[in-house]
Amino acid sequence: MKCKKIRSTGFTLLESMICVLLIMVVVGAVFSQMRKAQASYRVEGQKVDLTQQEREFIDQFARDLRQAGYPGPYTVGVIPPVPLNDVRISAGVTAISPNSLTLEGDLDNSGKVQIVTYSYNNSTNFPCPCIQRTVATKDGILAPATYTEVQNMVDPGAQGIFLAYDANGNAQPGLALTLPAGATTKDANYLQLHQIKSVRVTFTLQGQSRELNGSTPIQVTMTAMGRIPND
Amino acid sequence: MTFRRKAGQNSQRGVAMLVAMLAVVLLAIIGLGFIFMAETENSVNNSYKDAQKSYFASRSGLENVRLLLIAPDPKTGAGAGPLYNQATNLVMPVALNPPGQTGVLYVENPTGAGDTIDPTTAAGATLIQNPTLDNELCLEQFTGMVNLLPPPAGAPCEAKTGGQGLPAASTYFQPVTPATNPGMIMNTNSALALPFKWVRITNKQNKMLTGQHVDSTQADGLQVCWDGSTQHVIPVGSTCLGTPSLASQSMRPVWLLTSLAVTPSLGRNGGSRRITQMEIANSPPITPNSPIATQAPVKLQGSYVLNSYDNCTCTCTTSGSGSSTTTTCGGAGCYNQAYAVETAGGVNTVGSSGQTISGQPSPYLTGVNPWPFDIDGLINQFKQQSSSPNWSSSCTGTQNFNSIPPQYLSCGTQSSQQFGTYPSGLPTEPSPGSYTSVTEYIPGSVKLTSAANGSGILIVDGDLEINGGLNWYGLVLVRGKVSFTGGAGQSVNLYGSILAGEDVLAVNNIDGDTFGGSINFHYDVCALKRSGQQVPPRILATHEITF
Repeated sequence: MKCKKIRSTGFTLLESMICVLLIMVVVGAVFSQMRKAQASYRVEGQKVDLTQQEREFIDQFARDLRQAGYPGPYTVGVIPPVPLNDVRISAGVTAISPNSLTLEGDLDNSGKVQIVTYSYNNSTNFPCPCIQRTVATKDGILAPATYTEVQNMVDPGAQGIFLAYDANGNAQPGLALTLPAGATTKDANYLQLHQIKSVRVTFTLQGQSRELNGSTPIQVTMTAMGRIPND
Repeated sequence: MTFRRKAGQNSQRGVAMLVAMLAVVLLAIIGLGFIFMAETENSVNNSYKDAQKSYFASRSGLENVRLLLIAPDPKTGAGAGPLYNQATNLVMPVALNPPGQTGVLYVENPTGAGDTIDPTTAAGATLIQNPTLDNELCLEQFTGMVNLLPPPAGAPCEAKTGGQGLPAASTYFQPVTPATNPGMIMNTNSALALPFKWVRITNKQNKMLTGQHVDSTQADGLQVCWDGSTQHVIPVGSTCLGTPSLASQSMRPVWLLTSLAVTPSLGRNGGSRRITQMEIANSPPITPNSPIATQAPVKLQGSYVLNSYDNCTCTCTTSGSGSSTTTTCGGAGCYNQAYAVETAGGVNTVGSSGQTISGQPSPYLTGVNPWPFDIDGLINQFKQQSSSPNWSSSCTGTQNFNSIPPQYLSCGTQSSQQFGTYPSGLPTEPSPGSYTSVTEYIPGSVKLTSAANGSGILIVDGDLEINGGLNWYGLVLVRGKVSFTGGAGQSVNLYGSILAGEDVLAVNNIDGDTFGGSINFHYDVCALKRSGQQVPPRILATHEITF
C-alpha cells in the first residue's frame, strides 16, 4: 500500500483566529478573576490595616486605663480628704463625655503623673475625623502634646465613643462629668467618677477605597472594654 | 504499519505549557501572599493573646497572694491567711538581712517538678536563659539593697538606677520561698497552673518605685504603714503594729506585691512576660481615743456618765450613791490615756449633773486639727462589709452629701432594733463565742427608740437620734449629727466609742452633737478591736510595671 504523505505546514487562519479567540476568552476570564482577586486583596488588605490601627489604639487605651489612678490618693501620707491637684497624686478618670475621656496616671513609671485626654476631633481635614490623644505631665513641665491615634473615623453620632460602666456592670449612657479645679476626694464629681470601673470604646474607621460592590466605602468597626483596676 | 515522523515535523511548540506554568506561578504567588497575611495575622493575634494572658495571669497572682495575707478575724483572732504572719514580720529589704529576718518573700507557682523558678540567681544570667529572673527588684531602689551585682549590659536596671543591679542568691539578701499547695494557689505544681511564676512580697518604703515619697520630710528607706485612711512613715526599728498613728489606734504594714507572669514560647510565638504591682494593707480596727469622738462641736447636757478608762484593761469600782457617787478605775496595765470627748470643735457642758471619769488632766480634747478620721472613707469601707442591705427599702428621700445642709435619706423611727447580739456579763469582757457581732449599715438618718441593742459596727449614713436607751458593744459610726438624749436609765449604753462626722452647719455648740439624759458611755478598746468583719487586705493602688 502506498501511503500518501500529508504535509502539516501550520494552522489555517481560521484555526489561528479561533485559537486566539479561545485564548482571549480564557485569559480574559483569568484576568477578570485576577482583577477581582486583586480588588479583594486590596480591600482585605485595607481592612487589615484599619483593624490593626484600631487594635493598636485599643491596646494603648486599655494600657492607659490600667495605669489610671496610680499612684492614687492613698499612696501618699495625706490625711483625707486628699486634694486632687497634688501633682504626686493621680485622680484616675477626671472627665468623661460620650466623645472624650481624661484620665491621670503614672503611665510609664517615670514618677510623673501624666494627664491623658482622648477626644474625638470632627474636623474634615484629613486625617480627621479622628481620635486624638493628648498627653501632658500634671506638674506642667511637659506641655500638652497631641497625637492622632486613629484616622478617618465615621461620625460616632449621638451614642459617642466612650461608655462608662460601674462595678456592677451597669452602663451609664450619656454620662458627662468633669472634676472641678481644687476638688478633693470628697468632691461629689470625684465620687461619681470613681464609680466608673470600666469604659467601653466603640468606633468605626473608614478606608480610602470601596468595597467590591464599588459603592460602599470600606469600614471596620471595633469595640473593646477596658477595666480601671484602681479603686 | 507504522508512521514515523521526521524530527522537527509536527512539533507542538504552543504556549499552553507556558501559560499553564505562568498561571500556576501566579496562583502560587497569590496563595503565598494569603499565607503570609494569615501568618502575620496569626502572629499578631498570638502576640496579643499572650500579652493579655500574661497580664491577667500576673494580676491573678497578685489577687491570689492578697488572699493569703488576710488578717485574722477581729473577733476571734483566728483564721489568718497562711502568709500573714511571715509577711507581717518582714523587715525592710537590706543587703544582708540579720539572721532569722526576712526582707523579701517569693511565692512561687511552678507547673511541676521540671519547672524551675529562679527569681534571684542573676550571675551571668539573661532573661532568655532565665525568664523568671527578678529584674524588677533593682528598680524598687530599696535603700538597704546596695552594691548589687552589675546587671548585664542593656538590662533596664543599669540604665535606670545607675548601677544598682540584679539580685543574686544569698550574696546580699535571703530570699524566702514559702511552701505552697493547691489549697493556697489553685493548680500549683500542675500543668494547669496559671502562668504567673512568682509574687514577691516586700514592705513598702518611703521612697517609691517612681521616686515619689510618702512623706518627703522623712528618710528614704523607712517603712510605710497604714492606719485605715492614711499612709505613715515610721522610724527605724519600729513596727507598724507597735506604732500607733493615734493615741490608741495601731497601724498595719503596707505590702508591695509584685507579680511576674511568663507565657511559654511555642514555635514562632515568642511568649510574653508581664509584671504588675499592687500596694495592699489590712485596715486596723478603728479605735478613737474616747467614748465620744466627733468632728462637730459637742453639747453635754443633763445627766451623763462618760468613763474614758478602758473597760478592757481597767477595773472600776463605784462607791457612794446619788450625787455623791464616785467611780475609781485602775489596775495593772490599765489604759487611762483616753479622753471623755475628743472633737474638732468645742465642748459645751450644760448643767452640773454630768460626770466624766478620765485619766487625763482634762477630760476633753477639743479643736483637734487636722481631724484624723476620714468618716466618709470609713463609711464607704465598712458598709461593704454589711450583711443586711434590707434597710434600703425602709428609707426614702434623696441623698446629697455635698449640699448645704447635706441631704440624707430618711430611715424613719425604728424601735427595739436588734443588730447581732449584745454580750451578757459586761463589764467583764465577753468571750468571742458568746455573742454575734455584725456590721450594720443604715443608709440614712434614723431615730432608734426602745432600747436598740447589738454589737459590732453600727453605721448610720445620716443623722442619728437615740431616745429610749441603747445597748451597744463596739463602734457607732455616724456621718452626720448625733442626738443621744435618752439613756433610759440603763447601766451602760455603750461599751466602745461613738465616732461622728462633720455637720457642715455646725458652727457652734447648739448645732453640734448632743449627749445627755441619763446616758452612760464606757470606753472599751477590746469592743472596738473586735468589731468589723474579716476581709482581704485593701488594695491601695495597682499598676503594671513597664520598663
